[in-house]
Amino acid sequence: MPTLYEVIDQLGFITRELAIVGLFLSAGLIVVVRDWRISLLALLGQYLLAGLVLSGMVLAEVALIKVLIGALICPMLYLAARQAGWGAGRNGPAGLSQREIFPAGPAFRLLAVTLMGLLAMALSQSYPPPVIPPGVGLASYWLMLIGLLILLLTEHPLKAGQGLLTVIIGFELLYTPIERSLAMVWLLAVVNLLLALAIAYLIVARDISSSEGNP
Amino acid sequence: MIEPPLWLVILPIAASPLVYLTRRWYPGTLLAALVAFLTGLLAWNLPPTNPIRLMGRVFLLDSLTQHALALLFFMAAILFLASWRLPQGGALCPLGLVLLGLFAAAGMSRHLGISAIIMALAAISAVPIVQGGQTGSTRAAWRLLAMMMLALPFFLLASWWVDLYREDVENVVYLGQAAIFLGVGMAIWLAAVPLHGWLTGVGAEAPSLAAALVLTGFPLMALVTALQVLTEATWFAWHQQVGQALLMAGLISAGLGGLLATVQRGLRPLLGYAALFDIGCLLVALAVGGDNGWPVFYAGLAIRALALGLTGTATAAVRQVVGGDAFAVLRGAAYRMPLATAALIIGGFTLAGLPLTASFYPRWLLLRDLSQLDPRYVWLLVIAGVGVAIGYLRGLHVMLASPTDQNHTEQAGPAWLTMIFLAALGLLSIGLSVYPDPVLRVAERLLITYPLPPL
Repeated sequence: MPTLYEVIDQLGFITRELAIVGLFLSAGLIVVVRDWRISLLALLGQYLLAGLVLSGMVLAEVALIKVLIGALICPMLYLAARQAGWGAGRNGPAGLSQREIFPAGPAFRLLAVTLMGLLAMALSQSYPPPVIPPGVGLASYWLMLIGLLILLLTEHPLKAGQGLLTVIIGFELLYTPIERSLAMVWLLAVVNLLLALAIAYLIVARDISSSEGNP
Repeated sequence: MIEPPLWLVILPIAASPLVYLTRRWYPGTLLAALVAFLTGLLAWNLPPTNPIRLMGRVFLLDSLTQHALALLFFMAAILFLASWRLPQGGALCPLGLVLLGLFAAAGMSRHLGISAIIMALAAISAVPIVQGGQTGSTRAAWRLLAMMMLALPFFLLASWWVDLYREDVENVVYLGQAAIFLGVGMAIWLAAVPLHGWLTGVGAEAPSLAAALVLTGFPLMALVTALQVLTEATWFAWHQQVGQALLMAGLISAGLGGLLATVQRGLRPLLGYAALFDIGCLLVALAVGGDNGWPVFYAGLAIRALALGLTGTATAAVRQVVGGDAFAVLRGAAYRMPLATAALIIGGFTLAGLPLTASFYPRWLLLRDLSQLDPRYVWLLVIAGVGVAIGYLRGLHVMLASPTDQNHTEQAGPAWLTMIFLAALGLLSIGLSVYPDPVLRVAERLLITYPLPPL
């Protein structure tokens, strides 16, 4: 079985530019698609791609930590959603539909995503983040803006939690290359894990009563 | 050997597993209260210490942090004891201790980034406390979590710019950006309007004792961190601008809090807006400063803890008996719970700053100083305070109405200890209105050991 380092080596064919495009797509997918399983997969993809982008700028171990955190967070959220009664169908616990937790229509969401893209481009040109390459700066702004957009659109922890984590991934793209203290990297990793745990707790707390009432 | 200030972090966190295991029994509650009280005593009595280095970062227990932590620990001890037989969810005592330990660590940290990370951890550990075992709505816990996590990047970037400046002191340009990031982060922590959603959300939906702890703890530690930067950071040079920003943020927060408090339809939402009004007054006191403003500010911190503790406990006691806190279900509650009703009104009036309550004299001093700045500001604060009072008077009016349904089911009341606390805290508030010297003396003593910079 290949080690994680070997996996990262094998993923070397994905250039930074390709990974940035992937980040654009995966974050956009979380907003555009309502299906919670697809958006969780997109979130996992985001962690992987962010790790790949970072691997060219920081120690491979640090980038690996980010990927591993994502690999732990996404199953955690998946299990919480399943425990709360979210299944394979369109509807969740007690008939609560995915439309209810993410109410804006597809046209509005597409428009909002486009606007966020334009805003990210404007911001990255007007206020380019220090130290990191322009493309990474753009991806960082994009992720943070998309995360904020999700937070504005819903307060349901299943979807909004993904938005909050997206904001943090975007911020870490910008912050990890400039922070030289390993202690801070570890502390941020702990914060990420505990944050996901709190989100999972809230997903269950939000929907468990309705799922119990569901015959 | 472990440095004495670190016990303020270690003791509560180490006790929390044991408290968690015994949380369903009275000894568990008692243990949590005892640990909080003893740690509070330790915080109060520790002599000045040298800075401590941990992970290459400096931690220091200054007199301001010491007093703030002692206040918070003592208040938590009362809330823990009062929580016995009041349904607050099982997380209040064990995770409340973790929260206190994290507050101690954040208060002692002299690195903005570390403080922010610790506060983020505190917000995460506060999530089950705020949720309180309730299912359905997660709005309060979610807003607290999301806002505190959104504040984190601003603090980390501010701290990075400051570190960069320390390495290259020629580049003063970094500091302006650091100050802007710091300002945004602080606005979130302090729940200044329009970033107040987490504060009013916690007030409206969290169990009342948990709300009292969170609404006191987070803004208090935010103010401590802000004052540490204003007083100790040699790089910070925007005191005048901060003063103006604090004045505006304070006036708007107090005005909006007071205005919206008048139209609330439940005791818990009212608590949230009353807390927003009070934090606004604190910010104004800090901005006004001077001979009166600073003692008023320090005294206001202690009185806020007293008022929120009293109002939170009384609200929880009323909810326990009546089964809700919406005005619609409170009809006649005053006849069933006269002591809790009286405590609730005294607590609410203390938050409003009315005469015959602890906050009246400090608020009066503040208004006197503020009138020299602009008399319109005085009117704004007075009207907003009246708004909070009207909110509580509306509640009292419903509670004093004759009950329509005589066949209500009588729920088990709160423990006698809770009633004793309600009576004691209510009397303390009235006592301090007549004789405010003890609080003002401590505030003036603190000003000598931890003077505030002119804003």
